[in-house]
Amino acid sequence: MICVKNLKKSFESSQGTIDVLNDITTNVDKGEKIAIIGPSGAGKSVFLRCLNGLEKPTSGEVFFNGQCITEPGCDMNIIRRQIGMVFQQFNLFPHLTIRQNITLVPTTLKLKSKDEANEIAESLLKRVGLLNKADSYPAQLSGGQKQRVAIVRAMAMNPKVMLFDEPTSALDPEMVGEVLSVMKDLANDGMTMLVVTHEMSFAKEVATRVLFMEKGKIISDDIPEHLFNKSDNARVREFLSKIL
Amino acid sequence: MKKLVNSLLFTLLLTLLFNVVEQNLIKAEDKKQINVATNAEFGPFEYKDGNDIVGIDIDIAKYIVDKMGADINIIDISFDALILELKNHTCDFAIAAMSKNDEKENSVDFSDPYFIAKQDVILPIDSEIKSPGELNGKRIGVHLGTTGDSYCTNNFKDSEIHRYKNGAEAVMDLVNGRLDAVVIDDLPARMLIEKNNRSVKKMDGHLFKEEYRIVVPKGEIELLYRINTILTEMKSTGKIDEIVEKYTKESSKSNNSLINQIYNNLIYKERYMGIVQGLITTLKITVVALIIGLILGVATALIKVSKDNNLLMKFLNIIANTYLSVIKGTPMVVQLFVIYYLILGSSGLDKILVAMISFGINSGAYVSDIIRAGILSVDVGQTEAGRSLGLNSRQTMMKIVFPQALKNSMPTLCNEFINLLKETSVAGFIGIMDLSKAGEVIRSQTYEPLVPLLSVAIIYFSITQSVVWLMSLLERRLRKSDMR
Ligand SMILES: Nc1ncnc2c1ncn2[C@@H]1O[C@H](COP(=O)(O)OP(=O)(O)OP(=O)(O)O)[C@@H](O)[C@H]1O
Ligand SMILES: [Mg+2]
Repeated sequence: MICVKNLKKSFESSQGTIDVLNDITTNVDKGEKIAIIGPSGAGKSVFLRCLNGLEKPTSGEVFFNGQCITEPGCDMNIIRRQIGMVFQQFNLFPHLTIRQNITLVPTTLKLKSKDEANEIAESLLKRVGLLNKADSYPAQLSGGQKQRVAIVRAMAMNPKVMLFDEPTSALDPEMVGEVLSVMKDLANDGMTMLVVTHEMSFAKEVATRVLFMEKGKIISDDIPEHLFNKSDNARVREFLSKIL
Repeated sequence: MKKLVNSLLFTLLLTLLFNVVEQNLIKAEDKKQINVATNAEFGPFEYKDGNDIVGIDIDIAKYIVDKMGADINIIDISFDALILELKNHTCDFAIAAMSKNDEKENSVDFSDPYFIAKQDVILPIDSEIKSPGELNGKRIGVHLGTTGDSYCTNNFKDSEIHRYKNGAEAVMDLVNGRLDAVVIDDLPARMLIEKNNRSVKKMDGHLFKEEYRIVVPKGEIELLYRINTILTEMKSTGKIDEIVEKYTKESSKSNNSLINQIYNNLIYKERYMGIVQGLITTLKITVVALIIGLILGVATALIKVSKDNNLLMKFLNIIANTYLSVIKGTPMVVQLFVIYYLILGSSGLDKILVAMISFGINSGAYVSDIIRAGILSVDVGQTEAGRSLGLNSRQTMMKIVFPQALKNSMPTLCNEFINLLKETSVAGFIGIMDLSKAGEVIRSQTYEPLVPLLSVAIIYFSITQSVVWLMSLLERRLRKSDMR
């Protein structure tokens, strides 16, 4: 479904160019749930953002359902509708109610009528237990509730893939569970997911594959049982021993 | 009595005008209507009484125009602008207690004198000063841009010269001890002394004399000849004396209790109507200018934050940057003059409309900065969320970033509205009767600055406070989405 070939990304800074992604090649098949772990600064976020074009790769190619989305002529706006993204900081629209947050894009892009969009919003909100908050503003919600709304907002576009960038890192510990359970729900429904996370429990229980990134490279691509118990890679073992 | 001080602005405008404005000369005689320019701020020669422009000069002008068999149309503009109007041929002649000097002779022609004015010296009641010679080194108040001004500047080299737009204000400062003497024409001097007879007196004799003349565009020999003929007749028949008599007798009560001043400045002859109309004009100009400013400001802000890099955007960016730096780099008054005289000089647009446009253009630059700061204050995560859902950059801006930016900018925009309201007080420079000018006009009629000044101040203050109050209400409503 997603095919990444020799992806490279570097940033210009005052100290010269820094290579953030160093020749990444990988495939994501339909229905896979991929956890991406690794130390801070490894390039996990940048990698994820290259997949929906929020970041422009320096070189290399990304294919989405066979279409090359890194070539100049590609209309990213159409592609992005099919790739949902959930951010660490939720990024709900504070000036709109929860309902409007969810229906804004489908109606603006004329993908759905107002009523249709509303119906979808309500059924999704009901699924995550937040229907009673439909007419509240984001500032009136807790962190966990906000993140659940953010997931619903992405889901309302009916995406084929969902990207999560540390969706629980900004949450108080007691709210992590409610968000993870929504994500598990999605996973059980067969959604293709890429999740950058520090929640090893999620990686263990839900992921079908775990990518370990360091210094812009994928240094381990493994199934969770193997990775967490008897990884061949010394760096992975060292990293895991520190955080587990 | 009035003479132009060599102001930088004036010279600039004059030179520019000379090169830019080319209009065909239309002979006054061919017209049914004759346009006469004046500056109705110098009673008893020319001043506003309610809505009418009256005074000695005005009656003389009416008589002359009547003799020519035409209708008079009086144009009231700032004194500085009179010569410009003549050069522009937007008026046929000007009458505004003007006297001859070399500087002006180069650009306009003068009639025979119709009145000889004497400059008098007003002193505090207990002053020891007896003769003009003693004035050197003293603090002297004069009427800005008048012959009294230049006479004192040239002759009393050791003196501090304080220049006022209005004789009554100079006398107020004299009474308050900020000045040692006030030099002004004998007719206004007589009234000012009458009003303040307990605290000021006149110095014996006159400081000097001068001759008032009508001013016509350069080379209008025929018109000048006709004016001179009529003036000669008026002098010989005693018509001029009669007119002068009429305006100097209509003097005032010298009781200046506060109640009396309020009556005199606001109620007598329905003078408050001038203030009411001035207020309406000020509000009209401010509101329309704000709307123009918002449109321009939002447009330039959006151009400046746009990340599109095509040729059109680059071009628009250059225009936006030039606009912003020119407007923020020059004073409002200069912009108003340039737009009124040069850019829209020959358009024939209504003054008030020109003011709305000018203030709107000015305000737009500041609104632009406010909106831009508002846009930049919105977290990039908002844009990323919008884009990641499939909105394009324009939709993201309009639906997500801009509404938040506008909300963030509301308090600063409200300040800009207040600034704009106060800024419009310079509209009087192109002869608009706004609130400030209305107060000035009453001051020049009553020679009592206290009540008109306070009334105007109170009105400005009440409006700005209401805006602040409305804003806090609005902000409370807007903040609804931020509350838990
Ligand atoms: N816009 C940018 N300009 C310059 N450097 C950047 C930019 N975005 C990211 N980087 C750099 O790229 C490197 C990788 O960043 P990235 O955010 O992908 O790390 P990460 O693996 O997500 O780390 P974390 O776990 O802390 O989120 C970092 O060194 C960061 O400083
Ligand atoms: Mg990151």
